Amino acid sequence: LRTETRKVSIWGKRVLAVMMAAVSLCTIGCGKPASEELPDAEHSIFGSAELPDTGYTKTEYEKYIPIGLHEIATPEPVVSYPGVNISYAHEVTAFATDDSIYMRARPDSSTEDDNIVKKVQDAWAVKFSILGKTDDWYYARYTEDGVDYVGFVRKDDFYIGEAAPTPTPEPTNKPKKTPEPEKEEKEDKDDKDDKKNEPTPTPKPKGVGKTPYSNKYEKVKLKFESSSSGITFQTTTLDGEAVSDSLFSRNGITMINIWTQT
Amino acid sequence: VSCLQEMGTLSDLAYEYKGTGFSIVGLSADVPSGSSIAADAKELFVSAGGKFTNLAYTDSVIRAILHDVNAVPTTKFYDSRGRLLTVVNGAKSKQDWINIIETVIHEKA
Repeated sequence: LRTETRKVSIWGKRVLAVMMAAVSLCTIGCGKPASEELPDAEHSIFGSAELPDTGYTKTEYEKYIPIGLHEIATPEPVVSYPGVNISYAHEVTAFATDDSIYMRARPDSSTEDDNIVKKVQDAWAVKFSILGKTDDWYYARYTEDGVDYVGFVRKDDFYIGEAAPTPTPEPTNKPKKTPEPEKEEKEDKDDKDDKKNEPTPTPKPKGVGKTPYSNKYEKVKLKFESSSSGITFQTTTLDGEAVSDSLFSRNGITMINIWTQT
Repeated sequence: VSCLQEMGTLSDLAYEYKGTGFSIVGLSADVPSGSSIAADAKELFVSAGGKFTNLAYTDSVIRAILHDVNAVPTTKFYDSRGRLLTVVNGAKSKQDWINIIETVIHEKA
């Protein structure tokens, strides 16, 4: 397992920043990235508004994402999971770019038994279905021998696409500085800098998993609207007036006192 | 303190917190929506000092709110998106309610 510095939650930071600012709707285009070629999601542009006292938020933003991630980039609808938000969308096909993949019950690196749903061996180029995502994890389904396994897998271990990534053509035995574009270096700086000048004695297909992302970023416009209600119901008052869960949105907090006549 | 005995207290609190973003709603767990007993329940509610909105139940209310309620009175607090914040069992004095309400408001903030 790799331990590496993960990128801080893009979405989480964004929403937090939005909540704190929470006033002005920044027009798309302000705070443009210094370079159009730098696909650094931290430079994403966004604007947001919050309806006061309702918790309802609407956010629009642009960001650079690897081509192929478009389908799962919009976080809607959001369902809760202890400690994280999982963004569900329609399923997206992905292929493993590591030799072994741990599917976990929780989106954390623990390898305790209770956190391992399935260890997929010889996983390179094995197909998974991505059901959702958190900041660093995909929530994925994997089928083996007719059995479906569902769990969290590391984003970095997957290539999103309809076809499996191709392996590296040949190994290199000499120290070699990888002629990667600046943006690729920047994105993976944390875990690659100390390895760049080392020999790569065997063809590791793992690196190919990130190759399809190189120079293949696209800028997309996304928007997120928070769900209006955690629960839904329709009923009437004792006077017969129709009431629904929308009553929550009128208040910061609603206290429901449940009583009976006896 | 019984369910009905605290209706006056809750009405006072509903009035005192009016306009603060905090609201109190009653839910009659034994009065089906649209039933003929709704009028009787309303009369009982008002006679006990109830002056805030009171709901009858439907199947969707049972699924959303009443499904895990085992005793009355039970009070649930929800945020603006309908997410459950906390549950309080039993009737309380006015001061106890104020303490609870302030705690919920403080924790949400």
